[in-house]
Amino acid sequence: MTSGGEGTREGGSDAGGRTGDERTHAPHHIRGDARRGAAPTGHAHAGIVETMSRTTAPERAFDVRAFARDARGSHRDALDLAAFVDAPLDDVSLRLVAVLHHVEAATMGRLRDMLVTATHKDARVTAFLVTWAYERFWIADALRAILDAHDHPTELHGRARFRPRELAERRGPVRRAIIANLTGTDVIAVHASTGLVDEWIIGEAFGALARHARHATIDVLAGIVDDVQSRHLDFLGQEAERRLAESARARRLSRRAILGGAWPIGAIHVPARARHLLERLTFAGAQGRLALERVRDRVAALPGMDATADRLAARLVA
Amino acid sequence: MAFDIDRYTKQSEGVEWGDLDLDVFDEQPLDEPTLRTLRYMCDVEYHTVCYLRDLLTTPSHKEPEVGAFMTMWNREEFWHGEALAAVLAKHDITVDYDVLKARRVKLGWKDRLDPIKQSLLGNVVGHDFVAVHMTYGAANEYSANAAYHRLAKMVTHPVLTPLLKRIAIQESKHIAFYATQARKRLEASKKARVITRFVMSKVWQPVGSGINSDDEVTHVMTHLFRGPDGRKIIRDLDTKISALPGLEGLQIVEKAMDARGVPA
Ligand SMILES: [Fe+2]
Ligand SMILES: [Fe+2]
Repeated sequence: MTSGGEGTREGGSDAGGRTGDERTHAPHHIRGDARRGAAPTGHAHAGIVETMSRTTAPERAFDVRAFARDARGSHRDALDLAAFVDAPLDDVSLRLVAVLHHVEAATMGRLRDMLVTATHKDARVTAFLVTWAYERFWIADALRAILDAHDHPTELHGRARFRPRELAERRGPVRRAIIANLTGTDVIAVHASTGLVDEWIIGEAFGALARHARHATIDVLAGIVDDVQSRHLDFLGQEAERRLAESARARRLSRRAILGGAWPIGAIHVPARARHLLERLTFAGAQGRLALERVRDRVAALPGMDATADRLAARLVA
Repeated sequence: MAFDIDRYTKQSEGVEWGDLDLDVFDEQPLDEPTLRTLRYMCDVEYHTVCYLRDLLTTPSHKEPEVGAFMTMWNREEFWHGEALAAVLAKHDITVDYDVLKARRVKLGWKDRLDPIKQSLLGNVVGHDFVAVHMTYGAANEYSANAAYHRLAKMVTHPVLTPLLKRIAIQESKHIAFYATQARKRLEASKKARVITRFVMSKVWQPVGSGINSDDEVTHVMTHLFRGPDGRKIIRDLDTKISALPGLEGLQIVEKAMDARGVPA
């Protein structure tokens, strides 16, 4: 069982990506690249030893239990919403806030898509996802508070973009479950690597929002998001590194998912105009190009993702 | 009667036991039947994330209130599992990620097919299937709440009793959500009432039945609910469940006890 039920839609490009990507196999490190300057340094989580699991594999440095215990709840008290009365956000910023709210608020749907696969059997991964979903809920809530403060609608209107290569994103739970039953545990690598790419792109989008909005409350929010994301990135990074390094199939499936994805995850349901706005603000212009390079470099640093990183970067601005 | 979702989400937190001295278990350990029951409860709590998967196969999670609740609820149940695992660990019973994973893997094809089955059923039944999930959830939360209160009373232990009561308080919030949702959706649709009554009377089994062996289910039900006091709790449960629209007269919990030979 090689490509299983995944179909051959990306078959040709997959083969091309493989030759380019499989050149590098050295262990990589994801953390340590320059994070946005505005971010608080957060907690020193790396290196905390997992206490719950008896598994003593050295790569299990991320302490899921500590992460769950320190989960960040509501941010409303930290955000000066009254500041918007005298200094409201401009329309473009608000529209970007609405797009980000849309994707962060779709977390339950994402959780569903992951839980119908073998990912749900890995109790360490589900323990992470439970808290991850909780923290994303409160990021969405913060974005909602900002929209509410401007009487800006939370719903997005308009037609979604249609790209044949993104068709897989439209799969419902039945097809996802059937396909995943054939894919087995390599699907966890796919969820980790696509989760990483998603967090990187979302992180850059919040950075772009802060640059564009030039508003103290948004700066605070961007700092919070950076802090919350740092732990998601730690976990997803460790899982992706290890699982991709271990399995050629995991690398192949991940390449296909990354290139077939609508970014950030959930964008498939975002109206075309709103999606364009997010891409333009995040990845166009001099600052945007730097953001794009950061995303590309981080993807390229994952095992077997060299060529995929370039192709993804090209698509993010296409 | 209305469920205040904003208040619930804001107040939602992992159950706290850091202030309870677990070392008391060294002096006053729990007996074997109690540990067996706790182990079962712990499994059920940790299994919530798999159960959530089935709930998420209907589009109900796109309703902001439902999605918000499920996010918090799922996390609270996870912490119930963690709390009980900590108690079990004091008795050299390990429930860690590896143990949980092994159990989930053992569920095999049934588990793999569940989301597909749920989805297909949901597609056939349509939106009214949400009422089934909410009613099922209400019955489960009523049961969990009753079980924790019952065990807290049975053991009268300086650490376990307060811990179980804390968990039970959270379960009663879950009841409020599920029962409110179920009532609303059952009231709104005849079809929902008919399907839900059918599912509850033909399919419902005590919480944990799907993931534990029959022996374990029977042990726990007998341990907690044998005798006249236990039977009274069981009848109370049936009264609450059958108070939901369309479920009048159902005695599903008592029937389940009789079927397992739990003495009244
Ligand atoms: Fe619980
Ligand atoms: Fe509960």
